Amino acid sequence: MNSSDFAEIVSRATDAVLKTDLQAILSEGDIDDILQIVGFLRKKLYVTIDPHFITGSIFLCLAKSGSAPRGTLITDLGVYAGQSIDSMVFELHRNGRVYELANEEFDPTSESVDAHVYEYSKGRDIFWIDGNCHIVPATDPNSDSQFCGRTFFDLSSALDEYARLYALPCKCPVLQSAWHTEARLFFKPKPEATLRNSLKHFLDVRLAAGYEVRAEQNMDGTHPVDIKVSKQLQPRLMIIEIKWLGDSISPSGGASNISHRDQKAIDGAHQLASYLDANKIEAPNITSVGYYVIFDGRRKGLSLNKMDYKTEDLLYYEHIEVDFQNAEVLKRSDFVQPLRMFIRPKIGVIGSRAVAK
Amino acid sequence: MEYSPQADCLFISDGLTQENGMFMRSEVHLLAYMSCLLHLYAGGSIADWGYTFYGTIDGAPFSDELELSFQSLIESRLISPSGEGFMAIEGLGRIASAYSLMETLRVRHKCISASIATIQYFGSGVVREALEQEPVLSKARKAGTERRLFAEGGLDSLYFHFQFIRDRLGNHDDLRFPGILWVGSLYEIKLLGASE
Repeated sequence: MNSSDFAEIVSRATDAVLKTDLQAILSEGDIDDILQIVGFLRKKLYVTIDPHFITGSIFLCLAKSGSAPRGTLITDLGVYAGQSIDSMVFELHRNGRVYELANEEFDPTSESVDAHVYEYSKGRDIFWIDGNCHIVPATDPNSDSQFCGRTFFDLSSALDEYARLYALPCKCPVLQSAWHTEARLFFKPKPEATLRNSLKHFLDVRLAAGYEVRAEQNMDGTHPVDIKVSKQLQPRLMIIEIKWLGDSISPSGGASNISHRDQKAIDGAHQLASYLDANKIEAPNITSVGYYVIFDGRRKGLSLNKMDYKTEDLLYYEHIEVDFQNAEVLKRSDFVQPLRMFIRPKIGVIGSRAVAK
Repeated sequence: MEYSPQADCLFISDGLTQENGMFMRSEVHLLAYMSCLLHLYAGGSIADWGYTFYGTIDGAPFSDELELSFQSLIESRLISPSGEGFMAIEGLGRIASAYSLMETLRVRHKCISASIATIQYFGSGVVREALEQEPVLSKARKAGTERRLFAEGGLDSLYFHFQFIRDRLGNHDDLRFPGILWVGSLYEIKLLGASE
């Protein structure tokens, strides 16, 4: 990139950021208060409450002056864990204590005159400052809230969270785009790169800054699409091999011509093992560890023009593990146990729209 | 300005432990490097910062002086290994607070607080992804070999970016404000690059 190209992209990017409400949030609000609210969300509230289960709005207010608390002290946020929350108002104090306020008459416009007010509603983070509403610009489209992303210090924990919270309900927009229709019965043709991009984006923003995540391109159609993760300043490489199970439509949109089942998963395990062997020769000073991720979109009794499915058939494979037939490669010390990530179909939309393109 | 990589290690280790519960060694180097850049934003010079950085083969910033200080904190048990990384001992926050009050360390502390604030706001991963677009580091990364940072280009582009932000924001004594917007802008560059 030459200097004029760089100047052009810097001005576009910076202006794009300045056009958002971020500047107003930081300049019109008190930055200490904003960071205290964000810190509480990241480290306390959203560790306990998954914003995905907030059906209405929650508010969190931090008084500008040290006024006395008005609500009821919450001694353990854990009581809200796993609950679906319709509407709640939290009051945060400078000493870190949090209170629950009655929410019937809570009006963020008037409340934000004397307090900084945060709102989460319908997948959006909002700050109310002096009666004005400012929407937090999104940096992570995978997350319901921009402030709920836990930082991971080990890859296995990050992959487990992705499998549980993003792959299973198919929450990531990129992952959703791998499917032929929103019903999630058939994959699009060659969904590998899309599946990889979804996982890579998650690891990009959720692994600690000491990691580096790189996507390897599928150069010739025979080598797998995968992700390499390294820990900076450490001679250690984690190779993530990705495979998918299920059925994909043909490129013309016709009947499924690719159906991946257990044998595909076994082939992928051998492929990863051969990568690990090759790495040992090419880079003997680097310890390589293999992680095998299998996106599982298998459905029972699938047919392109079928419109009537039993729910139990669509979920049949959710708890059915791959039969690796005792493959020796899985016993290697440098091979982490495969992680199958089942992706649920969207049951509610299955019908005429499920198969229509 | 007082040269003190040890104080930098204290401030960063304490800040990252408070933020994420633990931290990785390379994060200390990354945050120190970012703090040095914010020092440049505030009008300081590279020589003032007191120690230098080089880019590793995988594109991470690294400072030998900082690493020695980091080791000394481990040896004195102010930092201890924890899982895949490290964590500051409980009392380190009080030591860091005491250091931050020293007039000679005031400027360094301001720059480091601004770097930590970007992690507070965006989270660790977004900051890492954003800094990959920073021109000096980006240039070193593309070289694929270890090289001294600031010595071989990228500075003009960095100063251009800083001036662009300053023109629009005006002068801010609190570096957290331009720091967060700068990281947001770098991350936007990454997104623009990915979409083009």
